[in-house]
Order: sequence, then structure tokens, then C-alpha cells
Amino acid sequence: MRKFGLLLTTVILLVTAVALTQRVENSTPEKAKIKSIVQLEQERLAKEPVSSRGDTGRLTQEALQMETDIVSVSSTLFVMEGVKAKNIKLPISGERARIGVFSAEDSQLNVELSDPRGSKIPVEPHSRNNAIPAYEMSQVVMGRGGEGVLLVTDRKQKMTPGNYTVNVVQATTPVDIIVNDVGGPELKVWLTDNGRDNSNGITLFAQLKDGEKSISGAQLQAKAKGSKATLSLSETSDGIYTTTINSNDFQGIQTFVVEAKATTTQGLQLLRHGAIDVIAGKANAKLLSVGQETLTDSDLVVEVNVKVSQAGRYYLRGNLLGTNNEPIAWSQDAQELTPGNHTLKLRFAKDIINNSGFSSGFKLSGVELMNTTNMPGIKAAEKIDNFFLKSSL
Amino acid sequence: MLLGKALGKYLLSFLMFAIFFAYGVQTAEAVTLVFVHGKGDKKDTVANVTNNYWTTDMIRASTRNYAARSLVVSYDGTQYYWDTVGDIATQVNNYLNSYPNERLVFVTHSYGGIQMRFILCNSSTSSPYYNYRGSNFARINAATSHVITLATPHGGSAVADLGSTLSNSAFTSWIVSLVDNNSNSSKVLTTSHLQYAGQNWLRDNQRTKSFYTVAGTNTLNHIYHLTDVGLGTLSLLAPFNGSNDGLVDVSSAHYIGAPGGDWFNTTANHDHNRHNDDPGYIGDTIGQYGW
Repeated sequence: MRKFGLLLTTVILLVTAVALTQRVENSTPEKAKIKSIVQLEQERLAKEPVSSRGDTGRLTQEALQMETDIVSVSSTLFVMEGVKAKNIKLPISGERARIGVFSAEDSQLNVELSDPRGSKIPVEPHSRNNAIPAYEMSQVVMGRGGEGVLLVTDRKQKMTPGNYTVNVVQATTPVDIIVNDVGGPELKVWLTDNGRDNSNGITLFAQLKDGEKSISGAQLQAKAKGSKATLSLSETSDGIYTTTINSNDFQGIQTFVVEAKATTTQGLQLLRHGAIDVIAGKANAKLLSVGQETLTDSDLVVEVNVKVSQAGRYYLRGNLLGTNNEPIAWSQDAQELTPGNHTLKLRFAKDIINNSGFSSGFKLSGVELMNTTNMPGIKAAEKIDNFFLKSSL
Repeated sequence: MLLGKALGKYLLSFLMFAIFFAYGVQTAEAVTLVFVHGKGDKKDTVANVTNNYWTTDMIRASTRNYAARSLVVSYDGTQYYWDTVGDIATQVNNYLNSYPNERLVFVTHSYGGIQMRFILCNSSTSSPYYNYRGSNFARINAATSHVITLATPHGGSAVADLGSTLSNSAFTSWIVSLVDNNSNSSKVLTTSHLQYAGQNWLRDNQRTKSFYTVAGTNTLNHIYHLTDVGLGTLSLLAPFNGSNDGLVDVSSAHYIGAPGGDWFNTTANHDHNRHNDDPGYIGDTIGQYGW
């Protein structure tokens, strides 16, 4: 009898535990896929034990790809700020475009939005309810009655590409218009030599793509955020537009906004804005050359010569690749340096090289020197790529 | 005799239970969950961050009813991450002064994940920003088990991109109180900045500790929940790539690589994925599977 009681208690406890667990199981739809982090960590450490070294490690194809990818921004946006006109044309080229007309102060703002045929497109009002505590992530509610108003098209509204019209029925302040022209051509913006101390400046590139085709003959200009001065972009190759930013004009981070006006292959007018962050400054250092190579018990050591003109912290990094650019290992070094010539060392762990299966024909690549005394770091103008090493294991 | 045998069995069961319980408590006591909040306003009190940003239920559930200790940190969410990591590091190191043997599991939301990437990517003497401005990142790294990032825009935020495209409009901050157009923290949450940083001072191979990422796939969780309206509206106009939580693309939340990796996706939006509520019950999940 007592045994039965003990068994019953155990069963009840088990059922309760399963029921409590089930509550968690049901609460997140993709829960079935969730693995315990303790288990994931055990699996990871079984595959690749953590190295005690912070200066070198195995270079994966994924990591190499990530560090060599060109950073770019793609945009289907266009914005019009502080518009005082009562009749505004919007060049829409995407079938899933969303249009917002906004005033932060004017709660009575009212507009009529018409498609290219003159048919009215409904817009839903949203306003900000300041009675909601400020620590909440958003105070925006549906409908009018609060502070300001945002009139926005419905998520499911299908758009016919062409020129839309915003007719401002009532407004006491200028309006801002934000259009996410989803489905239309994309503006892509990217940089070369970002974050690098380069007397030639930083080149800004842009491309308008209508599907797979680049759009030629567009008018593009860029300006630093907060500045009125504009830079025109020239079409330097088919559908690629460039300009040079004088990096002596600013230090640190500066946002550049590119505006593109064009006509699509279907003859539609097109407007796009895209923003990209530029990092500029002085490195106060030069990357001079690759120096001696030595093999120690644990490492392949490659010396790199640098010249520093201002005391501070300097950081060097580089990759060891196979003859055909197979990723093998990465290495980094950082030192506090005084003005003058110095040698920094990239130490590639021999056990990592041995595990890669390569024993000779090594290439040193992606070698860059950065002044990291302050954030954001600025790289020296020089870079070393595809330098064949003499050493073999 | 029969009674003696039965008592013996109960006693044995009790002893075994006591041993397992004691072992469990001892193991749990070695863990502290450190909560690092996301972008917000100026630095707030820890009590306000606990109650308003995370909620006490999130702390309770994540720590398995306080089986683990917790530390909630606070910092100025309007500033560059490199200007705030010192404050976070000081709070964590002060904690380690009191509990030197604790194994730390970081639970971070949004911008908080970027803070921890900077700290743990710069904790080795050869790192670009080792112990930046005298902070002791190395000690934090040594005490860290792993990091959980909830909806961190590792690859940048489309909303920050929209904000940086606007010159003067208060549009993004009007919709989402925590997102403004011109603060220093907004500038470094753009896709162009964070992808560049990921190639330089936030590179994956600069850290040895795992980051496990959680991404939100939905914006309008509840029509009656006021916060959801703003996130749903913002997702209409910001240039997202695909599924998102109203502020962060799924692809951005899972942008970083090994060590660690994608942990799971949740339908909870950017607000709910810092709380232990419907539909994600993120705290329960962390409590059950996170440490």
C-alpha cells in the first residue's frame, strides 16, 4: 500500500513537471528547434577546443568572406522633408510601395492621395498618445486625437506604378513624406577606402538597379548630413556613378546621403535616397614592408615594419592563405608605440597551419595597420595583399 | 520490521533528493545572469531599468525563479557604444569584486548586444581596443560563459538607416520613443557602420566566447498592445529586407558567426522579446534552455 502511495506520488510529480514544461513548449512556435545552450557549448568545445591564445586562430571561409565583403547599403526609399506645397507629385515605381505623410505637431493634418489615374488611395491616421508612459517603446496608436499625425497607406494596398499626387487638404505645418517604394528599382551605395588615411580621399560609388539592369543617364548627388554643400556623381562606367569625398574635411563618422533621379526602362520617373556612414581621420602611421620570417616551436612569425608619427596604440592584423587563397589562419598584434620605426609581429600558430594540410606556398594577405588610440580607428593608407612567404613547415 | 523497512526507503529517497537538490543549488549559485539593456534614453536607475525595461517577471523567469543570481546594468543609451562600455565594465567588475567566482551569462537586448561584442572582442592584449580607456574587459571575458543576444542588430537596423536618411524630421523618434535620428547611438546602429565594425573591431574571430542570437519575426503581436501599433507601422516604411520585429531584420539579428550561432526565432516583436510575456515567453526559454 505504502509502495503504491510512493509510486502514485512520483507519477503525480512527473505529470506536473511535464505539464509545466509543456506550457513553455507551447508558448513559442519554433520551440521544437530550440537546443539547450549548455548542450550547444559542449558540442562546440568537443569539435574545436578553445585556444588560450588571443593573437591567432583558425581562419574560416565564412570569416574571410565577411571581412572582404564590400560594405554597401541598398535603398528603395525616398523622403521629402519640410514640404510646404499643397500639391505634391510622388514618382512611384514599385507595386508594393508604402507612402507616409507626417507631421510631428499638426494633429489635424489631412491629405488626399491619388494614383496615376486619379483614383483615391486610402490613408490610415496614426497619432501619438502621451498618456502612455514614456518608457514604453512606442506611444503611437491608431486613429487621431494625440500629438501629431502619420497618414500611411495600408500594408496590403497594391500600387500601380506612376506619378501619385498628395493633395494637402489641411495643414498648419510643413509635412514630411516618407516613401518605401518596395518592388521598384534599388539604389546601392558603397565606398572604397572607408576608414583609411588616404590623401586621395574616399571614393563613393552608387548604382541604380532595375531588376538585373543598371540604369544609365541618372542624376545623382551626395551631401554630408547637416550640410548644404552637394557633390555631383559622374557616371564613370555603364550605370556606375562615383564621386570623391575629401576626407580632410572631417574627422570621425559622417553620414552621406545620396539622392538619385532617373527614368526607368519603362519610362517611369524615379527618386531614391540612400545613406552611408563614412569614417575619416589621420592614422599617423605607415605600413612599410614585410620583414623577417622565423619558425619557432609554436609559430610561424612574420615581422611587419611600420613607421609611426604620433605616440599611441597601433593594431596590425593579417591572414595566412594557401596559394589559391585557401583560408588557413589569422593573426593580430597591438602595441603602444612612440614616434619612429617599429616592428610588429604576426604569429600564426603552427598547430593550426598543420591542421590545415598546407605546408608551403603560403601567402600573407589582408595586412592592415590601424591607429586604435581612439575610436573609431583609422587605417594607414597602405595595405599588403598576396605576399608570398618563403617559409615552409 | 515492516515499518522500519518503509521508513528506511523514505529516508533513502529523502537523502537522495537532498543530495540532488543541494548539488543543483550549488551549481545554480555559480551562475549570474547579467542583463544589458538596449538603446534608450539617458542613463536610468537600475530599479527603473529592472522594472520598466526588462520587468521583474523577465528576471524571475530567466533565472529560474532566482536559482541564479542576477545583475542589471544601466548605461546612457544615447551614446556611442565605445563611450558606454566603460560604464558597463565597471558595474560588472564591481560585481565580480563581491562574487569573484561567478560564471556570467549575459542576457542582452538590442543595442546591449553590441556593447558586449565590443567588450568581448577587445579582451585580449593583441585586440585593437584591449581594455579600452582602462576598463578591465579581460576579467569580464574570463568570467563569461556565453552571451544571449535578443534582437540585437548585429548587421545594422533598417530603422537607423531610415533615420540617417532623414535630415530634420522627427519621424522615427515620434513613432518609437527609443529611436531618434541624430543621437550618437543611432549613428552606429546603421547597416553601414555595423558591417564595417564587424570587419574591424567587432570581428567574430576576436572573441572566444559564444554569442547565441535570437531574432523576432513579427511586428503586430497584439492589436490591444499599444507598443505593437508603432512597431507595425514603422515596419511599413523602414527598408527591411524581410521578416523583422519592427526594428531589426531577422538576418541582422543572426548576422554574426561563430563562436556561437543562431539560437532561435520567435514571433515576439522588438518590445516583447525583452519581456517574459505572450507570444515569446522569452524569459521562460532562457530559464529552461539558456544556461
